[in-house]
Amino acid sequence: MISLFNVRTIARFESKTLLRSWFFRIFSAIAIVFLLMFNMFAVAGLGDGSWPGRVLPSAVPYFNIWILNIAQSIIAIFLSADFLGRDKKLDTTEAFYVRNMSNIDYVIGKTLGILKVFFVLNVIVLAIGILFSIIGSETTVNWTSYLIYPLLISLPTLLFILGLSFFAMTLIRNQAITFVVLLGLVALSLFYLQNKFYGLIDFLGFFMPFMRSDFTGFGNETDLILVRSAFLLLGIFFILATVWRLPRLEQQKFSKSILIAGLLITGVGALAMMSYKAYGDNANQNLRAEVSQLNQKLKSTPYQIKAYNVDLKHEGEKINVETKIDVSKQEDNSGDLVLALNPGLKVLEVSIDGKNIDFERKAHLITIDKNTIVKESFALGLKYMGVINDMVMFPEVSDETLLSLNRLDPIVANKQFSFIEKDYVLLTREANWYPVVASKLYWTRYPFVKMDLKVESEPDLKVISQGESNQLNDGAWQFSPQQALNAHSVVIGNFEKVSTMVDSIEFSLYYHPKHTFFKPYFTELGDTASVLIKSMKDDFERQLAISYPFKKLSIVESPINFYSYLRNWSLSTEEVMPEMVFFPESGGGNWQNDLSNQKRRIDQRAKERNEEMSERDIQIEMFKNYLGDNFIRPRRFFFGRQQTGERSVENWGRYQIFPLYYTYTNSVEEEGYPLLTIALENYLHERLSTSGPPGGFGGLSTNDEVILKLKDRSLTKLIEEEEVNVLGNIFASKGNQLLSSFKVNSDAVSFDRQLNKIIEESQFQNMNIEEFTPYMNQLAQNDFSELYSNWLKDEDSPAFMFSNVDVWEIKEGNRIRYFVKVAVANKGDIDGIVGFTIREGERRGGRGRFRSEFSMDQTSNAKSFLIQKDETVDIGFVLDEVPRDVTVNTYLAKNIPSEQRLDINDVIKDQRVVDFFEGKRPSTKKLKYAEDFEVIVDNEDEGCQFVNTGESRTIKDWWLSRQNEEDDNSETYGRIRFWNTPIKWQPVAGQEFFGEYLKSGYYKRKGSGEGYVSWIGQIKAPGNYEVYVYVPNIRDRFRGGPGGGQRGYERDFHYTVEHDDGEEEVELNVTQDNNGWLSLGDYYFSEGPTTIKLSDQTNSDYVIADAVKWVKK
Amino acid sequence: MKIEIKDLSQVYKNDFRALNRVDLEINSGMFGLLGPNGAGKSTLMRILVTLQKPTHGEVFVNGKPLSKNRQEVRSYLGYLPQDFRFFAKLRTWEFLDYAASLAGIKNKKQRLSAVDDLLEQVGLFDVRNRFANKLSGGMKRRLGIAQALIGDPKIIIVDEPTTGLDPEERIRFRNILSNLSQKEVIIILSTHIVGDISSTCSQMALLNAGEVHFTGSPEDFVKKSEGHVFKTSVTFDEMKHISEAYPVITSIPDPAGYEVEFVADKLNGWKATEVQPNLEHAYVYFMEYLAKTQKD
Repeated sequence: MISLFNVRTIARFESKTLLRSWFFRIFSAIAIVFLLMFNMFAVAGLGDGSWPGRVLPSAVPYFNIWILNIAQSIIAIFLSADFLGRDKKLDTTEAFYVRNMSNIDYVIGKTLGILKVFFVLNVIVLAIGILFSIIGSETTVNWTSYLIYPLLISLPTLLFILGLSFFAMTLIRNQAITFVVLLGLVALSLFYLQNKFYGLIDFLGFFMPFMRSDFTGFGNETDLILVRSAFLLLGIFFILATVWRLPRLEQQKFSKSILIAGLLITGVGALAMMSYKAYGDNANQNLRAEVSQLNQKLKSTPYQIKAYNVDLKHEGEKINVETKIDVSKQEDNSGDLVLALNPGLKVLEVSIDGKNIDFERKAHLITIDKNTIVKESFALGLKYMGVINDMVMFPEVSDETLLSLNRLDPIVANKQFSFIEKDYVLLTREANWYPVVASKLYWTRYPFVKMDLKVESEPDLKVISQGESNQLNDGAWQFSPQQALNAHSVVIGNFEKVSTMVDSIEFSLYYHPKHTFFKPYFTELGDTASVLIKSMKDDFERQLAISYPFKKLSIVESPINFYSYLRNWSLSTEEVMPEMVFFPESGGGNWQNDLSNQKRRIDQRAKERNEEMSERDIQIEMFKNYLGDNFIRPRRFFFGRQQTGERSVENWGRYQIFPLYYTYTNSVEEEGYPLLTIALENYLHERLSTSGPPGGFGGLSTNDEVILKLKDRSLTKLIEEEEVNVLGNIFASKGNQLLSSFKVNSDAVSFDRQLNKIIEESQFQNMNIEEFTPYMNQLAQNDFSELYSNWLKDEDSPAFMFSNVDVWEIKEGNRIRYFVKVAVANKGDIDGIVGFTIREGERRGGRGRFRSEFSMDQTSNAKSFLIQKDETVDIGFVLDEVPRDVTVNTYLAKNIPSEQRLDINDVIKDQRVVDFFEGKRPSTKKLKYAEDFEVIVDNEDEGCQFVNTGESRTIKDWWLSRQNEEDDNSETYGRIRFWNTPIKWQPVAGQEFFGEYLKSGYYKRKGSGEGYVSWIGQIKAPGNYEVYVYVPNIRDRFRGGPGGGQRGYERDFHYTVEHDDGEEEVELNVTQDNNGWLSLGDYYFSEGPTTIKLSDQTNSDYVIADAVKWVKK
Repeated sequence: MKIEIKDLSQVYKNDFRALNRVDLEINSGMFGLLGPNGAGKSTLMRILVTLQKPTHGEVFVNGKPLSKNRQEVRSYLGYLPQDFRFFAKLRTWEFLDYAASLAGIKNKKQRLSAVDDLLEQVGLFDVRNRFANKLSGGMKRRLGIAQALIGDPKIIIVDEPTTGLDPEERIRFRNILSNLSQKEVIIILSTHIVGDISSTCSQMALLNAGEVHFTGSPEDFVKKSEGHVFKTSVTFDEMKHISEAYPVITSIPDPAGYEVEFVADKLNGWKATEVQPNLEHAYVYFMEYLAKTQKD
């Protein structure tokens, strides 16, 4: 039926014509040049280019094919629309239509001809990838990936697009319209539908996680192959449909029925595949919902697990587990024993003291009737086998968050929460691979239990878990507990291991045998490594004031597709488990883990400073940076994006070892959320915070967002009202506030010492809040229970007002010292706490993070004060050096931003005796927002209004405004953006702005003058007033570089003052030395309302509006 | 080779009847299909080359119905469409190579020699490497005929081949066709230009408004108009009258007025001498008188 000769002939000439088409030539040249540049700079690292993803397995072919796929889709749409377009209207084609060939020959020939050309294009691009990978030498070439990606990404997309556009062309019969419609479809799928509808719309595969791990491959092969094959089949379906619709009489009668059969097979096949995928995902979603629902209904339990004895057999893609669990029951309580176990694991047998009993299984819950339990403590036996169902893990995480991509700048990795593969296993606590007692909110606080673990696996695989490890024989491993733990994890895989002992702790690195790319960078270290580890550990522990509680610390390289979520009740993710950190393979494509680039930067810096650095020095610096940036003090990168919908925590990173010092060692059990645990965790985590005084871009900190959220609501109420997904930062901020309130009655140093002691004493113990209260009473030097319940129930908040900082030079004995005084007033409804941090001395230039951060080259004083409602106090400090900056933290008061830097007045060198003091004293000062002779209208006041006009003049404006809206929907107050400034007045907040408590303003891109902000003041006493406007000190950092002088500053603002003698237009030029309250001149105003307007017309890029005041003369 | 067209009708969607119950028999040799623009020639051609299905009736090729034997018929066909101007980016020889491949010459060597032969024959050998869309109008037509001839087709159908060609090209074109007509093939030539139906046409048909008005040899066709073509001299005034009364074929001005040749069913009092008719005369006579009376 099909003549191969004809097909080949048609294909041959189609490719020939295609190769000669300018559209094809230009577009593919663009794609090739782009990818060539990418490979040259990013992969091979020529010039100063770098792309950290290049060291990830398979990332190079993935990225290349991924980009090419879009380019070739567009070309294919154009070409295929062109193919039938050419055919339809021109008789020339008819000369060929009358030839002896079947329609199917013709369409298949055309398709193959196009595919052939794209095949060449793919080969070229992949060859470039391989070539530059080899030149770059750091990247290993994963040959199979170079085969798999074109087959999995290019081919289905191409066939689908070709088929669809052929078919669309036979329906629409107009090349231009077909082209636009199909391009629209591509745009729709790229920008809007994305991975919605189970990813079944994403024919480009743009949002499919195609990242391949060297440990586990794709991890979701079935899904990927299913969806991509479905598109492939759909492509064939459309191609056959095109044959059917081709405007040419069919050659043979019987071919029509064969065609219909083909259409049916491919159509039904694709549909079946897609339904299967949708059905599977849907079933998992339902199971997930069921798990959430069941979790909601859980009650508190009288049962407690005392010890685990687990025997785990790794059998191919399954695990087979036998456990013996010592369970005890509180005497005075009864209820069914409910255990949670991952629903992918099938329970074969449950026994009590060796006797098999009945049980009920519903989703993840195993219920054992209370009547079968007679003893107060008993041995529970469980046998189960199967797989882990990832979809029921993190059940409280929203669907949107779950679907958001695990992007690795920019390619997409999968989100897998656990692994059981033939040669790799990774099970963390959240996988629920061992049974736990399921009680109310059990997933927020796991008790500490000892586990004896035996693992059997393939002889050549290594097993890693907590406790003392013993390899019994090939493939059999025993782990004996060293302490009770609240999380247990198992990793099985093919690893190389290096380790070193530091402070009798075994530090190990487990890495994939192929991933040795890091070795050449640390050749000179030798024994220095352990010295470096020790010094970093000491530094870290000095800062945290807790010492490492485990005997081992292993960094375990884990699949790039491994993912976990940061929960609201904890700062740890599943990437950190007791004794181990799961570090993504090859550094996870993070910029800071790009070793060659890091090395180059260190080199460059040294050169800039004219320093001589030996190879060893460089390696030491790199080693410190690598460990520091990843595990100690994670660095936020400018381009590092937050994952959609996920919680963001300042100074946090997923591989940070902090949870090993607290989260996996301490826990205080409470009814409901473990709020005290959370509070302590956040307080300790704050100790690691290095963020200097706030400033710069403005915008709200997470704490500030919490203030807006908390407005007139207590924590208890919030927990009831808000979704669990937004509570994280509220817990954290409230927690910080609680601990700070404890601090008020003691000095910071002894408070912290005491707290550290309490924490070390309660390690690995299951404590409830009653047991913990005495400790807390002592710590707070106050009634903890009362403080705690107020903390939970307070709806009101304090509001603080600060004076400028006065500094006097004083003589104490024969020493020159400095006395610093600030007046603070609490104008809010309740008492509140203000934390002061004062840095002394001049700023020292230290570049390199750990140079400045690990060596304490600056002293800072931190102290908190309780300031009662309606009280005004002076706070005094005596310092050895001139204060550099004074920062106050008002926690959850009305003040936004909650952390702000106060203005410091010039040092008074007057030798007059000053009554200096340290601490708090009643003040004689009266702090007022506005004096009696002033009228102030701030942007937050009712008198301030704005007008937007003519926003969308161009499509670009319209598009930008849509994007602005999307960006700003989540937060009420944005931060100032210097690029792509909004075309409507946008609220912004930050300490640069003026405001009674909420320091905010508006800003907008320059306009025609139609848009403006107006402030209407009510003048009570007629007379002469000087009019001032507040211009915040905002500097465009990108434009006004160090040598840029005034460029980032200079702005002109156009005000109109309405006064009794008419209107006056005033142009104000703002420069670096001229901001804050600026005068617009003297005017006479009579009683009543009067208006000042700020036009959006300016020569600079944007206009900022804040506050206006009229000061009576 | 024999083509029988039986009761063939084609009605388009807008109710336009392009062909109305056409019956024709075409035997080997050159067959001329003559008719004015819009007579239904192209429709008939398109049906013959399997580009279109008739609304009614059937075409039999060697006794087999075309609608069931497209594959076989297509293997006999060489077709030059009416509007043969647009080409994909292919060189002249590649274009022919493509056509030759589809015409079933599978052996590359044979194919290339066939291509070269034809290029030689149509005088395009010198421009064989030029892109086909860069050829002049006449060259394009020649390339068109070459692609229709490649692979030794048994049925060659050329639709309005000489439109837009200069006289020299036209003659050359006719010669190529008449050379071919020596073979055992059917050549169907559709045209509205009477001159194209040269004496080499052994058979012809006249199509008007979808209906066949004449079939037979060109000689018979000419015979039909014998005694209806006249020549006379007229004054300027008479010229006006005569051209209103009769279709004037030629008018040569002379000092007294014109010398005119015209076609007339009856002379109605004009003084004129009879002229031996040619094909053109016959065509005009047919269109003006016979076709009309047949209709009535």
